[in-house]
Amino acid sequence: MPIIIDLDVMLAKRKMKSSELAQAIGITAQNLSVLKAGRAKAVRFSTLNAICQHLECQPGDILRFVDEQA
Amino acid sequence: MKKITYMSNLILALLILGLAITLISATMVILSNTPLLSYNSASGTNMWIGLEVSGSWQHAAQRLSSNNYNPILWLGIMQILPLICINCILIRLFRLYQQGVFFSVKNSQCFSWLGAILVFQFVMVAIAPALVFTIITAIDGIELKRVVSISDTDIISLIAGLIIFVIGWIMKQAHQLQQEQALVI
Repeated sequence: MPIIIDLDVMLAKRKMKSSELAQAIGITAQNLSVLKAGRAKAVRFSTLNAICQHLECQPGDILRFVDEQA
Repeated sequence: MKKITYMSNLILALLILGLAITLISATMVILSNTPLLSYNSASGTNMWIGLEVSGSWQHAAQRLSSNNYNPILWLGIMQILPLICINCILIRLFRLYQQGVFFSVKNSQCFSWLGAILVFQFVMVAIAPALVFTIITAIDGIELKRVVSISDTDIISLIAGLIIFVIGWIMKQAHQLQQEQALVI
């Protein structure tokens, strides 16, 4: 998948645990783990909104596009 | 959920009973050429459980009988093979329902197999008597007129088979969508 999720980096910057974020945004720790591992097929705007709000960041800080053909 | 389990148990019992009766009847016909149950009383009660050639193969069975061939052995056994397969698939499907599995890959496979067997049954109904007559002609040299006979019920079962086959595809697609939906965070 050319879209990379940099949630780990942002969590480390904010010194926040995955479980804390999962609880704060109202999703399960397993689902957050799926998102972090890049196995998710899609991210809801509501989830992205909640993540950005709690981590005080922009969507671009979490999502990154890497051209695999380049 | 309780209703589904209860009804699945009931249908499973009926399917297993039906399969057992079919298998015992077929075995008795093959071994001794007698029906499983034949009861006639003076009051007019008539009970019979056994194998007989039915549907669009009846004319072919009559022709076999008039030439001293046993129609049950030549056509009857062949006629019950798809029914046994359908019975086994339905037993598998209702066992899944009994266990609370409704929309898995196994369920969609059952539907696809069911549809495929119904379509195969239509093809078999069309060609089997002619094929049997060809074999008899080749073995014994008796010339039997080959007839392809298809009735309206055969066409209905073909349409039902195709519909069930498509339902199998749709269920497979639904399962994929369900899996993808689980990965939407």
